[in-house]
Amino acid sequence: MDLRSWTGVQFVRRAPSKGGEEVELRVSRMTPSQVLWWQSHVQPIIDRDPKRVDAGWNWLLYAPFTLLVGSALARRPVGYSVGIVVPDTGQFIPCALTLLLGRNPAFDDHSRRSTVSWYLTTAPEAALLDIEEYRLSEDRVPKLLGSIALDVAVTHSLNHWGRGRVGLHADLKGGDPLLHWYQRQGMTVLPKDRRLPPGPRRLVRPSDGHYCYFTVKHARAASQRLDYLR
Amino acid sequence: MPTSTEVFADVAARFGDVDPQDPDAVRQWYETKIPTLPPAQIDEILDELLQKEGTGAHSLPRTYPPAAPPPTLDEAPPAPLPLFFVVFLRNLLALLRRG
Repeated sequence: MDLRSWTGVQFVRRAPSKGGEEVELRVSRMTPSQVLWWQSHVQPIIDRDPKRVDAGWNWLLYAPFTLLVGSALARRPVGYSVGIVVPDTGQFIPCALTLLLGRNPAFDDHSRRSTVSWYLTTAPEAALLDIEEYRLSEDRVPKLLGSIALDVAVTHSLNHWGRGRVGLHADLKGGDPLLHWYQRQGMTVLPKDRRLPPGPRRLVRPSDGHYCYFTVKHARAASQRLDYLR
Repeated sequence: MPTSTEVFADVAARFGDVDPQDPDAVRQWYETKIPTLPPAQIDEILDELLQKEGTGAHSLPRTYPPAAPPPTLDEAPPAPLPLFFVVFLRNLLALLRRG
């Protein structure tokens, strides 16, 4: 029996950096001020690289659902920000954002509950170095931000009846490299011939070999891999 | 795959009679109008957005808000863990079901 499933799982609280020093992080529920700061500071830098999957995203459109109406919806949308803690200035500088749908049928077992990762983004290194508020030098740039952002979804699932199950659709724009990255995180790719859970998406956007999911076993393993950062 | 900004604009046009080419109007509708709608209709809108995942493009003109002040630590408390007794009861129920 996994004791953590009885106590709840802490979110990650630090990240390793290039220079070896750890960077203090905090995972917070997403707020309008964080979204506004991201869209004004980080998104313009992301948009400079049209190859990025998250180029052109507008968090001012995506966030209202989770911030304002999440609790009213059956799918339980929720937003999280991962931010760098700057104790000197008392600031929380977002370095990753994710929007989740907390209650969906799991891809691997349609009778079970899963979290779906709808949007997930991390600040590019150029943003971490160029934006003054981060106060980061090259050797203090945090590593594993993508894994940490994905871990937020796993942790949410572990803490909210999903036992770690997480599903997502890897953006086709990311191609095989993105799909392989999710596989390296421990996710399984839903084969093209496997059906999605019942619902309109099964018809509109059927399984295409780009849906990925964490099984309970692999979610637990992925979560345990980051335990040293909690 | 996330839903594109184009789809967000189309849905705002369909459900809110908003000009899909006007990014400010689209944003305003999601920020101010959506929360006033009945939950069933919000659910319908979410359904529409999710159904169209992966279609369209991020085609709205890119507008960035003027430099916003950095969020403070006070405004960003650590995300809460579920209450211990809730987790405990949940696990107990699961065990009983299995047993």
